[in-house]
Amino acid sequence: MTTEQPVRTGRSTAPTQRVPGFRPRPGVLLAAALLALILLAALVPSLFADGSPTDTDPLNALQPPGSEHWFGTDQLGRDVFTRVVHGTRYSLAIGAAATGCGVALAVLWGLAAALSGRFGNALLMRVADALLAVPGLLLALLVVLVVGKGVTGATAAVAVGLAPGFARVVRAQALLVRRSGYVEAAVAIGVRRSLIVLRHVLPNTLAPLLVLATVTLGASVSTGAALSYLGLGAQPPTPEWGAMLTEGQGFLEQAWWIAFFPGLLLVTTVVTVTVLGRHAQARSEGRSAA
Amino acid sequence: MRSRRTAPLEAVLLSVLVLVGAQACGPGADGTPGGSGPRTGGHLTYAVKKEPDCWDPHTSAQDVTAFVQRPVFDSLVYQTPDGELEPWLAQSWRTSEDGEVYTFTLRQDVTFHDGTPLDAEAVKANFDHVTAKGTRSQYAAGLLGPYQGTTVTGKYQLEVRFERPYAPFLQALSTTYLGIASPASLKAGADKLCSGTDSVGSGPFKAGAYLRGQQRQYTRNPDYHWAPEHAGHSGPAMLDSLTLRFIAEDTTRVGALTSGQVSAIDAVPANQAPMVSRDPHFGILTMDVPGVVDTFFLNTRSELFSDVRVRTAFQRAVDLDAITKSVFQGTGTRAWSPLAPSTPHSYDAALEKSWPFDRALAGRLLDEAGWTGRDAQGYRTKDGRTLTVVAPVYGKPSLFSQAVQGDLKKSGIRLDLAASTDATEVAGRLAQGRYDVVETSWGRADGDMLSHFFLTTEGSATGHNFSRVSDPRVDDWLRRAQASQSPDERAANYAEVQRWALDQAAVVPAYVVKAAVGVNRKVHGLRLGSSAWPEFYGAWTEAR
Amino acid sequence: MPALLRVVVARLGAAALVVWGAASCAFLALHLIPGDPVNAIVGSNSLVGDEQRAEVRHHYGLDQPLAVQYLRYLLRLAHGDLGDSYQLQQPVSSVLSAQFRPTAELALWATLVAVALAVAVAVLTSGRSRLPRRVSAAIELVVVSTPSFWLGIVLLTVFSFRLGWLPVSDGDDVRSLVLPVATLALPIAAVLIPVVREGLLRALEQPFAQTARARGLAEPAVRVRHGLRHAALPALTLTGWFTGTLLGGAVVVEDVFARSGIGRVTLQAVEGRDLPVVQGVVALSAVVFVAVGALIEVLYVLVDPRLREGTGVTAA
Repeated sequence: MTTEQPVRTGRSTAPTQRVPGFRPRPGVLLAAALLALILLAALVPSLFADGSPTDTDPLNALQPPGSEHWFGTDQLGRDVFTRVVHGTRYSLAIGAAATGCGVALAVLWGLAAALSGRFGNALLMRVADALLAVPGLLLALLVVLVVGKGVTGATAAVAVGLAPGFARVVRAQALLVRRSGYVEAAVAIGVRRSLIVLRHVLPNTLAPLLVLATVTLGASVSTGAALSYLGLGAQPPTPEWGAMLTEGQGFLEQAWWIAFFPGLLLVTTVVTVTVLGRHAQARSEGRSAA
Repeated sequence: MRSRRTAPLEAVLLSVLVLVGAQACGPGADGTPGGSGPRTGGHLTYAVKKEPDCWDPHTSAQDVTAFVQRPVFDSLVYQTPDGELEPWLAQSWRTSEDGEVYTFTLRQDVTFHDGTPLDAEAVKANFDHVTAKGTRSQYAAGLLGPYQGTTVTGKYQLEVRFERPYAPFLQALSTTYLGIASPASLKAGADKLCSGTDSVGSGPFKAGAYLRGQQRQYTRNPDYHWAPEHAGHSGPAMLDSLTLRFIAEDTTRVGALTSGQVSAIDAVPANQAPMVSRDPHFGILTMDVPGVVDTFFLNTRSELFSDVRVRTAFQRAVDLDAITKSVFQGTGTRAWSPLAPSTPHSYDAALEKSWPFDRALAGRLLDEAGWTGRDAQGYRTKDGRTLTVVAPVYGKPSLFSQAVQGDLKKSGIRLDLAASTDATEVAGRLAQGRYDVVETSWGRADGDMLSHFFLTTEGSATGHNFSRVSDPRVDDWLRRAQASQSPDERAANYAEVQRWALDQAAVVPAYVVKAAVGVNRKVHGLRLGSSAWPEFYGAWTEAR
Repeated sequence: MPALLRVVVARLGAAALVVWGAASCAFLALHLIPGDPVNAIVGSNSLVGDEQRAEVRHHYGLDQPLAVQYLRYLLRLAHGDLGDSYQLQQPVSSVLSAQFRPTAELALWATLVAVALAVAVAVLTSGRSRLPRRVSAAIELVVVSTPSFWLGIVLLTVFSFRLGWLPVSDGDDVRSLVLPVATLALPIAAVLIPVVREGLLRALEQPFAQTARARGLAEPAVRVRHGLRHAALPALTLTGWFTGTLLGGAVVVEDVFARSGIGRVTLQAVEGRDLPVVQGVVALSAVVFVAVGALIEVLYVLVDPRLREGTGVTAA
């Protein structure tokens, strides 16, 4: 994972970060183009690398980057470029699925808190507070213990790490919406509670949450990779970036490329997603301010 | 794989005993004169990869248990690094004509750490302890083979009787598993002996404080004067004290050596060996581990591998030469027999190059066996099922297993490395035969190691007959080898077993396991014993 | 001073609530784990028989109903007793206290370095010219997006393996702290810099800054003396929050650099399903989080005199 930071985890105790003076107009376009490539690699990796990421070639192990192998080969002679390209899908999938699950969990949690009585609200929010006091990665480790190692475990772990912070946002937003004129009007004319939630509260809560989720998506990808790096997520020989980093770590001295390139791709992905996320955030804030 | 020899799996051979050679060069590594000669006193900290689960060598089958308890427990017989047997606690011995009775005469000047003297009753108490039900011996009782009983015939004389002639007994006696503990200490109970707190022997070091997960301390036994002749030293140990630290992770262990926190470490991984040996402050001691090499035992009774064609295909589909070369960075040795070439009087060199890598042959055999379909990933299928070989793995799959997995894929075989950190689960799988292949190795400087893996009687839940073979011919060869006092006759019988195991494709021997001990050059006299683990008795350190 | 007392009691109550909540969540989560915890206790020692397993179960209180186990756990927790480790056969509290120092050292240094770096860069890039700010912002973005495990690996490759300036792993050497601290501190600094800079820029637009300039104070002095104080509050919040969560970062950094510490213990405990240790680490991290939060509040008051009246700290 990257160092925990509020932007990423959406933890409400810290302010959302904005970069003053950084206007990424051309940057946004570049990021969008890069992300398109990355998504393409995730969906159709064979477009970029037609070999198999698990094909070994022991006689050509630890070859440095060159025309034959752009990113070199690893300790088993597997082509690092092919592995990195094919790994895109695993790394992105863990981050995206976790963010999705985190949003879903947070919506249930936050709405439940906002709509239940005083006691329920207090209980659910205290639980969120308590969980926020535990570092996200530690929380993730806890979930891995319960769910088990592997891609599913890592996804669930990242999702649970995101949920409490998201839940607070949902609750705050839901409370705002509930006190707004049209909801009070709806209550006044006797519209069913569940219908109000579904029609009015939910959609209005979702929008800011989705922006937040976009900003944190990059970080979720990163945390997922961190779990795989720690040996708790994707298992070898899956070409997941974090898992590849672990494998390459024993060879830093002789073959820096094994650990370098998966990391480079990971950083590129996180940067592009973050740039686009911040752009979306700035736009939505601009809109709400206007 | 309870007792899998984990430590030197990724070991590397640079050249045999690099360190010893370098020591002769005089000046110490840091440029100060080091030729001041052996020094008494001093302290050595050694980092071990694995920590024993159970510290009682009579109970545990782990090789690391034998290693960590060697300084504490002496044996009746000593096996030199060359594999020869010589007197230790037993002054002399005699074998009856029929080979069924061994008569030992003990030294009369040996005392245990608790002050009680060693006598024949004490030895008998140890054998009784090994064979007692409550000890739940995983290995030591097996080493006693067809043991019948012990009779004390004098204060320092005893007879050990067997149901049938049992020649491997003397070598078995030399292992720590049959080490002699103070009889009083054996009464502490299985729990305490296993937890490593009540180890009382007669060795050159006394067991000290033990902190689970971290370290165990040892202090010199000042009264020690009964070392075997070729121990490389006599009298009390040179070191005042010794600490074994448990550092499982390779990078950390190597880092502990290079940063000077410990003076020596075991299991230097192949990829870090060049870094260690390039540094003038350190050297690497290496030695081929005798016994059973790292071997894939194919479950001949699993649904998949009951077909000998599929087993043979698996055996021939792996390019072991290439994999060994790459995984061990050019320093590994591929195996041709389940026994390591360094195993005394038993290795069959005729097997070399007799079953070369042949992917085409593997393909034909699989076609014959009906595995003709292909799935989307290129794995072979039959009746809609993918050709999947299940290999339970305790802990993480090694780099070597992954390389084999990659190679098998080229023949359309999917090797499923089912990793689990739940030992109980893995043990259960093994006991119930729910696997296709088990990869393991077992160090012991005696060809009788084959009996532990291929005797029909080892097929029980606690045995190590991972191939689950039961062949009267094999049992007969193994029994004959055990019965013979002639090294040549034993070797001939063991050769039959080795050949049979390969012909039947019951095994795929992979590579010769090598011990690789990284040592600070200020440490001298540390040598690898017959089982390729370090012996601390003659070790000493230069003054700081 | 009833006002002060009330504040303190309320704070302590809230803190205890958070710790209790975190500990309870950990307890519940860990008892959802499928499988027999006795397996984790006996480890790979498959020799253990049924009666011994029953004994182990009894020793750890695992034969009790869940509610009883929970109450016992809370009772012991209240006394600072975290139970016995399944694998290390020692009390969890002694395991953690033995490993606390290296992690605390790492976290403390990382915080200090991050703050110093953030202040320095913010001051240097808060001038009129926009270019340094843009360059800095771009670098910040990349550093923030860099996972610490990869940052650590890159630093190791360059400074230890290629250049050989710094040791590869943990040692008694102070130099072995440099890379781990940098790995933890850089991303934090990258988040802090814009916050500090924003505060600075805003402060420098205020009339008092103009007055100071008019008095002839040099620009750097204006920034440091007048601007920083105003930028301090949000930065303090963020710093406190980071320090409270550094335990999570320590898991990764200690793994990359093969250092000993709480993070290491945690990872081992997760691998070996050593539940009491995991529970202990969760409780510890909640305590640290709460304690750092309290510390930050005290610092607020010191930095900003305006806050003093409300809390009654000046009265003391």
